[in-house]
Amino acid sequence: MAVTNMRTFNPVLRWSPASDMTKVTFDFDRRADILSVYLYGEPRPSIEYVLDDHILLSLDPETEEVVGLQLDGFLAHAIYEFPAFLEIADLIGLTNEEVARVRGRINPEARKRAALESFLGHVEPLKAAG
Amino acid sequence: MAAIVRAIDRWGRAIVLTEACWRFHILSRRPYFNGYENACIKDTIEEPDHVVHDVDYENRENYYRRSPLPPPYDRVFLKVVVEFAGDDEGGIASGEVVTIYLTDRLKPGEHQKWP
Repeated sequence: MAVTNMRTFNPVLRWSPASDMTKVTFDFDRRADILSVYLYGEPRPSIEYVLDDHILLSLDPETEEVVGLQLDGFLAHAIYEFPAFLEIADLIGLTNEEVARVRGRINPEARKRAALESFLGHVEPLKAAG
Repeated sequence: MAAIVRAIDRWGRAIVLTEACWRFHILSRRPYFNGYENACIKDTIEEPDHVVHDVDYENRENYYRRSPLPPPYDRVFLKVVVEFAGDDEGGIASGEVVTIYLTDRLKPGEHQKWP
């Protein structure tokens, strides 16, 4: 029987990088291979809103506000698509061996993109101001 | 580690939820599941709405069922991720729950196993 009357969501993003970054925390469930990002410091009740096979937005079930991110298949796949997460390897408990193994497998174009995206994040506001 | 929920899926496979997984992986992150272990795990595995192959792990299958939780956690899917060990002597695999969470839909890359 088809599942009917399911909710649809309209995610609302109120958090911005200008918000208190010290509150952002990371939690890596190694067994499940899921990296959770909590934008407001600790896990909040959430519904995981699927963006694609590996990126899900954690939505407050009442307000539909984005309260976090969930990256599924983090070591299996997502970290190769978003190598910038290697910058927090120590915060999420990756071993030096794991970091070295991931680095050795990252596509050179993905590494260039990660570096440039980080840089362009600083340049874009200047461009808008100019 | 002790199993606190046992279920048999439609293919005759025994799947367990361990106490360690429930307390340290699931409730520590999602305390609103507290008290719903049977409704979440046993019912979802034994009477799923969908069963799919995991996108990243060949030995994992994901069971989806309409959430049994009350509002505001209703009208979404409960997803139960199960990892299967090798077959036993009778050729039947056994599985262990890895994690569960509530979600709005199935992933586009999850190939359908059932229905």
